[in-house]
Amino acid sequence: MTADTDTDADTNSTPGARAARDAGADGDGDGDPPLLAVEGLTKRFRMHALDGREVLGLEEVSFSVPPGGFLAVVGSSGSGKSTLLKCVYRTYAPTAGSVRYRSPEGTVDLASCPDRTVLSHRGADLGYASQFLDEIPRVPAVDVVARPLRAAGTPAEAARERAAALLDRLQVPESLWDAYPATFSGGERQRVNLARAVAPRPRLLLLDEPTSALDPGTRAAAVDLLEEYLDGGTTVVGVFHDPEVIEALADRVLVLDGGTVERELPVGAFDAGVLE
Amino acid sequence: MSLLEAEGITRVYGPGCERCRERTGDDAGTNQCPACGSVVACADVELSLAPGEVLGVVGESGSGKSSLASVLALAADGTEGVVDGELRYAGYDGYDGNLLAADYQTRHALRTAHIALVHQHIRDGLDMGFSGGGNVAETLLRAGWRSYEDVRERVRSLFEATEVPVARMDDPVATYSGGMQRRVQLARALATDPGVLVLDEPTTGLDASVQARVLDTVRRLQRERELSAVVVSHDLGVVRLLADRTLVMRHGRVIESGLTDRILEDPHHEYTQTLINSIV
Repeated sequence: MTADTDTDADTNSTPGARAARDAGADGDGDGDPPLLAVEGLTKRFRMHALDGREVLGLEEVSFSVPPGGFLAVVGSSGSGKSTLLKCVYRTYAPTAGSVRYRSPEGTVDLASCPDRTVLSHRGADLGYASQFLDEIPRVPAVDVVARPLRAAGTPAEAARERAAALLDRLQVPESLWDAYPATFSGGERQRVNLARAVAPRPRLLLLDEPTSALDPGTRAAAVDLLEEYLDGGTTVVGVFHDPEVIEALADRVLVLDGGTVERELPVGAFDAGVLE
Repeated sequence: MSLLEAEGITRVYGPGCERCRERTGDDAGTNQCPACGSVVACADVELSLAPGEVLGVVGESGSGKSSLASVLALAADGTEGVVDGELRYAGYDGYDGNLLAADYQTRHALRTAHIALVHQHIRDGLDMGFSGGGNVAETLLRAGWRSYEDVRERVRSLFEATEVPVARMDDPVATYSGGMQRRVQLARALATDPGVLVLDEPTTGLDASVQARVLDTVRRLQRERELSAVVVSHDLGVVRLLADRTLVMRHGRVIESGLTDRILEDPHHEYTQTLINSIV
């Protein structure tokens, strides 16, 4: 990497992250430097089929998340929540602004770094789960989950075992583990997707409504998994609709409205009633 | 670090003139020069391929994809047209200059063992008069393999890797199904463990279910052997499954490039947007 790099090796082991969270760490960067610092993030889509009309996705969005922090992104439909995650993951190319991510190899600006740099993080320390499983066809569920572990160097057998344990924890019936997720129900697919995203314990995990299709029982299992399996080592930015999930997991809440930040506040001060 | 690097790759059919480049391409809306009538199949293409990476090239028929593929695979020798540009390959100790300016021997050596092409048209890639095994053995013999037993054994393992029934090895390749013929082409291309594989429309013309199985094989081989490959296809689904990064071509020019998911979900160029909106 380049001069744009300030290596910091110790951020992956922050057992105190949850403690810091409980002690009221506010994530505005006055302790540890943030793991993710988004500044002035703007996304506009130019639609050529509509005579080049521009559609606003995000405008001047700024926030930061400390190592081990859990930021819930909320807002009405069309407010820019998914666009925000996709800009961080670079599935959308941001129009302006920066997305500074403190990766294991140093800080990179995901908004402007080369495509290959993005790819090298995606396979390893940067995870993303879309709302619905964008599955690779004809791959059994257990292998879908095991794949990122294999890519991270876990031996085949151990990867499959861990994948099976994750599916089990998320209450995916064992009879489905060797089947293709294309045939699964929405809730089953969503759990496979979540298991795949958390499996390698990425340093930064982006979740787009990972529990929207789950019933109360499986949702509780998903919350448990996110809480326990991802200890302080994973920083999460997630879009959520369910107030209970937000209260159980998040430490701060980012409220988007019309592509801009309406406010950002600690979860304790957040009135979940606005989501109902 | 790049394994294969190309710059200014241009291929012109016809006499060519000074105005060819400025009067063709995306802005001009054509690949045929109105001044001299030459066809600029591709021009000024720049790309790089890292070890283990799969690069997609998409575009409609006539966009210059196959012309580019044949230049990259050093398969434009002895055909019509003028080829220009810089092509460098880091996987061959014998030569590190511009492959397009290398002597015949060097190019032959690279084609035989380092950069393999899976042709769009099966008849360009296989000798229909030979057996399936014979087609693969031919590549090995060109690369200097001599022992009959070694060649048989190697062909057998390549048939297994590409999922062609070994029992059919000695049957004429003309009697194979379309999907099997693609696989034999793959086996042939992989015979010498090339550093770069160029796949030109690897599944075009196959039934959907056969397409899926051939793609699965390519994906498995890519994973197991960490293949570096350029995949040319008009089918965005193929590129979505195989490629990390993608170039979009039109009228012989690269009009957009980026991460494959970015191209599919956030296409910038008007033509790319039309292409994405045309997915059935």
